[in-house]
Amino acid sequence: MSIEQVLPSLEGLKVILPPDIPSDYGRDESGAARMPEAVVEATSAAEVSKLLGACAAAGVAVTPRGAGTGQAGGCVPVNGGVVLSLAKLNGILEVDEAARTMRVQPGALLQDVKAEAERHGLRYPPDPGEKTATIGGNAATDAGGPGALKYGTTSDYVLDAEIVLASGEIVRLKDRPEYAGVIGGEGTLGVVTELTLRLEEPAGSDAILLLPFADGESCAAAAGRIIAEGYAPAMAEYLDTALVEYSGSVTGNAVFPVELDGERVAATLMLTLEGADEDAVMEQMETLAELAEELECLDILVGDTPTMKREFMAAYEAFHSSVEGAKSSCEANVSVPAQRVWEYMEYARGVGEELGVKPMFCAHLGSGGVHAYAVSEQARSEYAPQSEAFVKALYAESVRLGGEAAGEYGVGCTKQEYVAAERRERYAALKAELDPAGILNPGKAVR
Amino acid sequence: MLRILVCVKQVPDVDQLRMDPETGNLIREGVPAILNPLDANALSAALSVKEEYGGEVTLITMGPPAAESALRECLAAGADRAVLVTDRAFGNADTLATSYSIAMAAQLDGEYDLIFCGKESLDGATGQMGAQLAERFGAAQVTGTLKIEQVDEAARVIRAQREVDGGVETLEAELPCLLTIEKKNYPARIPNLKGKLRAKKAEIKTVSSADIPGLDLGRIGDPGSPTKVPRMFPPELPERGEIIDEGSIEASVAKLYSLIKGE
Repeated sequence: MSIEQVLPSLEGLKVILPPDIPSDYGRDESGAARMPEAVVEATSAAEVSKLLGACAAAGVAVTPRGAGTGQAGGCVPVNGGVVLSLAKLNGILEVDEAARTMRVQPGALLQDVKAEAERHGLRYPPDPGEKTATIGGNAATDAGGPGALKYGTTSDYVLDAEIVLASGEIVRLKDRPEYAGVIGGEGTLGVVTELTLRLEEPAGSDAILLLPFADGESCAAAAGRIIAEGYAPAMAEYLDTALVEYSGSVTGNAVFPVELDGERVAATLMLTLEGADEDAVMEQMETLAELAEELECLDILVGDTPTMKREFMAAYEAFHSSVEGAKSSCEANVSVPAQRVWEYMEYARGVGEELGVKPMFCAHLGSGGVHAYAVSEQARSEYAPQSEAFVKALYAESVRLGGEAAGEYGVGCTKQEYVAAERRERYAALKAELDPAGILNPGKAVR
Repeated sequence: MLRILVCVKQVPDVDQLRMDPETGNLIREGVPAILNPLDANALSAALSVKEEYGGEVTLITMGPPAAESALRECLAAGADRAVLVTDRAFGNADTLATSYSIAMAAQLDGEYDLIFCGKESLDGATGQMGAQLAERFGAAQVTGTLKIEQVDEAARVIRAQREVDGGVETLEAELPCLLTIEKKNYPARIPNLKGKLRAKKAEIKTVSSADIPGLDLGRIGDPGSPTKVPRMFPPELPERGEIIDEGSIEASVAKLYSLIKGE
């Protein structure tokens, strides 16, 4: 059935048709692209319900979309049909300080959710880095980020949700256990129209430590040791000096150490320690100093002032944007078992050498999330064959090592062949039940 | 041995500062105080000189007792000693009274060969302190210093580059010399844990108005400050523009054209 048959039943909804559809609605940040046949900008659950009901009856595909900041093509309408934009369904409805909860609509941006929590003296911990992403997109991909080590991912903070099923029926997440799959379901199992989020008390005090290492393997191993010793860092990041230098050349200030007392730093472990107050954090630092000698780090640098912490985080977040600004670039974001991060990076360097791609890494050492970036001065079309082969090799390797190619960004349409069979089966059963006609975001997540 | 003085200031963290739109007063409650970020660059330059030519780096600041934390932060990053000029009598000082007070207090410890200041403070942003202090110390001054090329202690000469409109000029100046530092080549030093622990225990010398012989009380604090602030108000923000994206260049141009025509 075609889109024309659906249109008459969409009266009252804001529908955009070609040629007036802004080109952004056909892409995200992955490079995947296809223009939809129509866009609906929803402003309520009732409107979403009306659209899904009509599309289900006509068998027209619907692809939900937030801010389009995804890295896996999750919101690109690869089968055409309707793009359902939730960007304008973006209210922050209520913060309950006593219960530490926030009710929010899916189009609200992560940065606004975080700022609103802070205004109430609370915090919303998940942070995949991209703060202009929508909270709905974060929920759809179960976004994590470096803080996931201590604080978990988005699904750990979703207490309840209002969901519109493919049939148009409006349900609550709590109604049935199956609905939990919608969080992390990449918009293929239902459309979230409201979330109730759990908020937390902020840590009384924190400090970001930098442990530079002369060799990368010791750096990768150090995090596991520190965690095993009972420290609970909110972040334990592997910062490849190649990436620090590259990003520094773009921003004008590397911030993180490149050389220390004449010795080249291979990688730096960035560690966030939290405590009830300054003294508690200091105490952790002092005991860590004893362990550090064994770990063979070159020094322990401390960022515990607002200025320094901000500078560290800005430099850290600049990794991604500085790579994206290169003439040509590629990235592979996966997760592997935490103790195999080094092995994975060694593989990536090897396969990169064969293909003429020079990877630079940033890794969440505690959880095993690894971002491999590469840049080139070649034209995009020239670089594409080798970079695409490189990224595919890395996806396959992540699965071989017992990890997931989906990493933190979801499967989308770019990583489908790298989903484990068991996960595929579990998903297929859920999909058959919640979206039997297969209208929701077809061609995504697990086929 | 070079005697190096670094002047620093503790300021409210402007990123977290809000203005009461009704009264125009700054809401300082709950806003943490930080080391003026550009002073960290001045300290970094001073430490670079010390590392290359030897010397002793002394910090000085004027402020409430809590300003001690800014000094400890600088001590952790590598400064050797610190002086805190603190007394209610110094309160409400403008730049004129502040430079007088700082110069008088600094002279208690003798003369300095090099004096470093940040380019300006985050809160007042007058950028006057460097020039005023150079005058008070009877020192040459290099403003907007990009890079220190050489310090010749024996010949008592410093050579430095500074930014000027459309280029860079290299200056030679006699010691004592005061330099205000550009951020670019002197990123803030990240303290290490050892420095942090040392700074925690370091003794900080405090100086009150009574400790400074010959201090003219009419030239410090409120009485010594001719600058008055009659009114503060938040700037009016211009209206947000509209982004025209009609899906295609043709459609966007047509929309723009109709807007210009006032349709």
